[in-house]
Amino acid sequence: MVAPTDADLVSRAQAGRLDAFEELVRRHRLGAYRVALRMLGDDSDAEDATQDAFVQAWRKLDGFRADAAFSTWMYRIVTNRCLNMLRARRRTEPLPTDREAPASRPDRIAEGRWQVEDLQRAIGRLTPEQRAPLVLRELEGLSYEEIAGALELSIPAVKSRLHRARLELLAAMRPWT
Amino acid sequence: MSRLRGLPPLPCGTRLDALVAQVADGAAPRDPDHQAGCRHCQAALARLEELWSLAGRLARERVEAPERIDAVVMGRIRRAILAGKVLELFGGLLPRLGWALLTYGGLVERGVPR
Repeated sequence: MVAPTDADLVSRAQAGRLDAFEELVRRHRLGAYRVALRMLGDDSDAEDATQDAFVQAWRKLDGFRADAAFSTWMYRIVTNRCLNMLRARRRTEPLPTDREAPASRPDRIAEGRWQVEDLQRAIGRLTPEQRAPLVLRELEGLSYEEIAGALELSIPAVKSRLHRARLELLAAMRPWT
Repeated sequence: MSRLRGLPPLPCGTRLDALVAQVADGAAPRDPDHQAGCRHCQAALARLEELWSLAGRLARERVEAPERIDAVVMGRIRRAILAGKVLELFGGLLPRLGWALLTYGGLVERGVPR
C-alpha cells in the first residue's frame, strides 16, 4: 500500500481526522526538533518549542494552503516559536568565557570535536534574526526560496541576513581559522 | 555588537565576503586569474573551506527527537478539543439557564404564584 502524502494527511486532518495529524507529527517531529535544538541550543527548550509548534499547527490547520509544502509551513511555525523564545531570553545566554583550553580536552581534540562545539557556540551568539537563516541554510540545507517561505521574508532579505550571519560567524571563529 | 568591521580585506585587497559566497554558495570567483596565483586568497579560501566543513559536520551530527513529543502534542490537542466541546455544550446551555433563572426571579419578585 502506498503511504499517503503529506498533502493527503493535511486534507484528512483538516476534515478533523486526528490520526492523520498524528502521522504528520510523527513524520515531521525530527525536522522540527532539530531546527529548534539548533536555534535554542537546549534540549528541553527545543522539546517545548517543538510541542508548541505542532499544537499551533493544529490550531492553524484550516488556514494552511495546499500549494505550500507542509514541511516549509512547519519550519515557519517552529522557527517563529524559537524566535519568540530567544527574544524572551535575549542577553541571558552564557558568554563564551566557558571555552576551555584545547589542551584540557584531549579526548575531544582527538575527534576535532571541540571545533564543532566552538562553531555551535558561535552560532548561539548570533542574533536570533541572523541565526534563523543560517540554521535553515547551513545546517538544514533549505533553499533560499524555502527559507524565504519559512521566515516570511523576500529572497534578497534572506540573502542579506544570511550574508551578515556568515560574516559574523567567520569573525567569531577567526581565532582558530 | 557587530564584529563585521573587524574583518578587513585581505592584504591583496580581496574582500572576504566574496570568498565566503564562493565557498558557501559555490559562487564563481570574481577574479579567477588573480585568485589562482594569490597566496592570500588561497590561504583564506583554505580557512573558509575548513570552517564550512565544520558546519557540514555539525549538520550531519545525529539528532534524535524524543518520541514522547508525539504523545504530548496529541494529548494537548485532544484536551483542547474536549475543552472546546465542553465549552460549546455549556456555552449553549448557560445562556438558557441564565434566562430561566432571570425569568423565575422576575416571576417571584412580581409575586406570581407557582
